[in-house]
Amino acid sequence: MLSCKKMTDLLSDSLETRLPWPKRWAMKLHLMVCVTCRRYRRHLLFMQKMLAGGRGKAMPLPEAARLRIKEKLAGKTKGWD
Amino acid sequence: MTQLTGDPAAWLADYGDALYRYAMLRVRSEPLAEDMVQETLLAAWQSFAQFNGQSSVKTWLIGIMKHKIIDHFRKYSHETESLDDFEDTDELLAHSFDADGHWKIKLIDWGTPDKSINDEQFWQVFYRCLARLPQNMADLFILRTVEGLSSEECCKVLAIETTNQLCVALSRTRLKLRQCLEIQWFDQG
Repeated sequence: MLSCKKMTDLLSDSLETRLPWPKRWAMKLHLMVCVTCRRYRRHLLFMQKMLAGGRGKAMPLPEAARLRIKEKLAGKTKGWD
Repeated sequence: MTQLTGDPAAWLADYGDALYRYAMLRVRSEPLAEDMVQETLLAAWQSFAQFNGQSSVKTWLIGIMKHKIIDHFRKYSHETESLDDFEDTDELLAHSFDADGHWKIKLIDWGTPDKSINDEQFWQVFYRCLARLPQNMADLFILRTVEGLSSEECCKVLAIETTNQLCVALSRTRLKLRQCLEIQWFDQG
């Protein structure tokens, strides 16, 4: 049986890549019996969703700032529009 | 695409949002983030001859910005956190797990993200927790999770040798960020 500490690594890894089936199977078994790891998994998904799909993405460079940057650099670079 | 000609106007158009977002998540100041984008593009234009095309332009620009941000923190921050220290989570691991690797703390039910996603106070706490991470951890989490850089690109930008080390670092970063959010936000009720 995997330890919970090892599970935290595997749960994190599973957000990065598709794990080989023995690891996925071992994780499933562990999650069936461990309420704390199930909750840890939900916390990881929570953080992932918040940053990847939430405010993290909704932070574009403001148009006024874009124009200021363009103007400031225009005199310093060649090939600048 | 005009990237191969070293055209900063094209870089601004293509990667301005990504650079600004990364800077904002790290420095939490709109004017400063704007300056960072400008300085990064200028530095990139000046050093374009050294760009060897082994990484994408986006990865290359983010690498330049990362150094700009580190320089800023070195100059203005009184914190002495190590730039390479992924190991300061040892204490957190010891606090969280017993000798057999089983949880010895209870985790709180956070509910669903939908409830927090529009809560301004939650985001303040989230950014504060992000800012408390060691710099490399914060960089890693932002670049991988928000910007979606590949593992290989993250390794290049952050000078991490193997993707295995990257996975361990990401796991520790998530553990640390989770702990901070739990204490600073979810355990406050």
